[in-house]
Amino acid sequence: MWGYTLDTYEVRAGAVKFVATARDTIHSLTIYSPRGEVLATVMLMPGMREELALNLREPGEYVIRCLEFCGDGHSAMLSKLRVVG
Amino acid sequence: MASQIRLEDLTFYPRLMVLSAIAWFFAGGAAGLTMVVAHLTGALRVPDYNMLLTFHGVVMPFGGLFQLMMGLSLLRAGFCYGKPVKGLLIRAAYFILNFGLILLLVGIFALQVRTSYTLMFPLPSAGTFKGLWPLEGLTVFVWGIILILAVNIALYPAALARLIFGGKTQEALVLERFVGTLNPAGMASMLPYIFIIPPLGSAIAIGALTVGLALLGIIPLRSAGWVLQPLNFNYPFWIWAHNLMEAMGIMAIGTVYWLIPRYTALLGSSEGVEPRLYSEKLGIFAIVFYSTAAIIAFPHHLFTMPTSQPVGLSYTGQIASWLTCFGAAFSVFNVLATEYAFGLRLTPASLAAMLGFAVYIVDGFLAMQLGMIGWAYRLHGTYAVTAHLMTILLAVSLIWIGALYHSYRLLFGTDVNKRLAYIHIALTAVAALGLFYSMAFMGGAGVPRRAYPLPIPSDAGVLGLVGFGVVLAAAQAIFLIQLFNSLRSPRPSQPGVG
Repeated sequence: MWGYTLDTYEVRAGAVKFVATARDTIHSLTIYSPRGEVLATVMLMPGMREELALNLREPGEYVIRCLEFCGDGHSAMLSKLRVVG
Repeated sequence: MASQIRLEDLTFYPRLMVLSAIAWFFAGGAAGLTMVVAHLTGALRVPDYNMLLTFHGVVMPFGGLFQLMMGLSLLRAGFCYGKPVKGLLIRAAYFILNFGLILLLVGIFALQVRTSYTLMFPLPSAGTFKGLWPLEGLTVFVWGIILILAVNIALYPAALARLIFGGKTQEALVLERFVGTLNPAGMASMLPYIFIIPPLGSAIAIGALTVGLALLGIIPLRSAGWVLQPLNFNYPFWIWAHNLMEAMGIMAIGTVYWLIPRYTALLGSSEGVEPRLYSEKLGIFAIVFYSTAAIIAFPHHLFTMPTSQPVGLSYTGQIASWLTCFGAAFSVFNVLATEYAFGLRLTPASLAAMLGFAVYIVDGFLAMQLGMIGWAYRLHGTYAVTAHLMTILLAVSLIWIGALYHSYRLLFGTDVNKRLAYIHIALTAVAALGLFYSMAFMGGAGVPRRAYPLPIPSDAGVLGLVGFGVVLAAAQAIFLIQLFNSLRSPRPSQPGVG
């Protein structure tokens, strides 16, 4: 209930398109840059499919977090995406 | 007959509502303070924090602020139109609201439902399916919500409309006459709630009732499936929730329109001067303009669902959000011009109204940013949004505190201890601004709201929350001393004494 399953955990720097869905309840897909800035956030609802296109030019580790309260595991819900040059 | 009219006919239920609101404020405030201290100490378990989060989130806006507004607005309508504030509608509104809140309390603390600050669709049902809380918890929780919605959408606006438009004026109960902005459209600030909230809230009420009946087995569970579709839920929910906040804000602005003219230096300096705003027509225009823009501003809550929300709807929401700022700006001009032209006497009522209005405007600048599509993609779901929500609620509460001090003698039978009142008001305003800037700072740093423990450390932000939370609590404790002193004193029993 409180985690992300990504098709890939490493992408090349440049344009990246995220296509996301929620399986159980409300979540969000929020991308933090390697410097900790919020680049963008989208809400995810079960049964809906959201798309988010970003230009990830800076190589490094991007953190994906949930910003919509989704239960007891909300705070720890994250994943990481490595962007390589 | 006039001789049979008692002051209690006017004040009994408003006083009950005000005292109940204060009790809910203190319970919810204690939960809030515990939560921010937990961020500092880590002393709470996650489920316990989330229960407090849910409790705080339902009792502060509905048990506290909504009930305070309900009591004081009914009282104002009663003593301005000379009609007793009693009867089936008013009794039902009071008891059903508080019974609904008690059901939510049972759902949260006895049955472990913890769905966050607001109803995070579809977490209540998802939690049941995942075994986080039992079906009974969901049923009790949903019925608590249904009862609160019934008061919010039907009983309160009906009671207010009945006071304004129905019955006969009894001169013995007319303690203040409406003039200027307040007559004939004088209840201008109350009219949006009466005419906008019932139709805009009916869809979510029908949805909630459908789920509630299905949970009780009265109708088949599958017949409630349509409510659980994300779009079917979210649009009715936000059309109601957004406009509820706006209607409460508009009624608060109307309360500033009502209070400030009553404390001008001009009014106090000579006999026969009627309390009035700088421009009565601009006052009415601002309320109509604000209300109209607010109705179509709700899509700003759903900017970050890009695939499902049509772009045109998002831009409508953005433009309408900024138009509401024009409505607020007209009010700022009118209130400041009133003070410039007629002077302002410092009293607890006028100070609370002005500081509440000032906090409201300060928050408006953040609201303007959150109402923009671009910033929403950076700030939605962070503490910046909490800064906006909590500050708007605190600002409106402060304005109603002004109304409470204005009617204090009428309600509680003793004069206000001005020294205590000034300390109460000043500390509340300082705390409101301190909490606002602390949360806005955390939001800018990307700290997620409603998260415990904080996944992104923010020591300075948390220190701000704890420090200003303590100041807010101390301010309310000072008010409590004032209230206890008054409740120990005997009350007058005839109208006109207050």
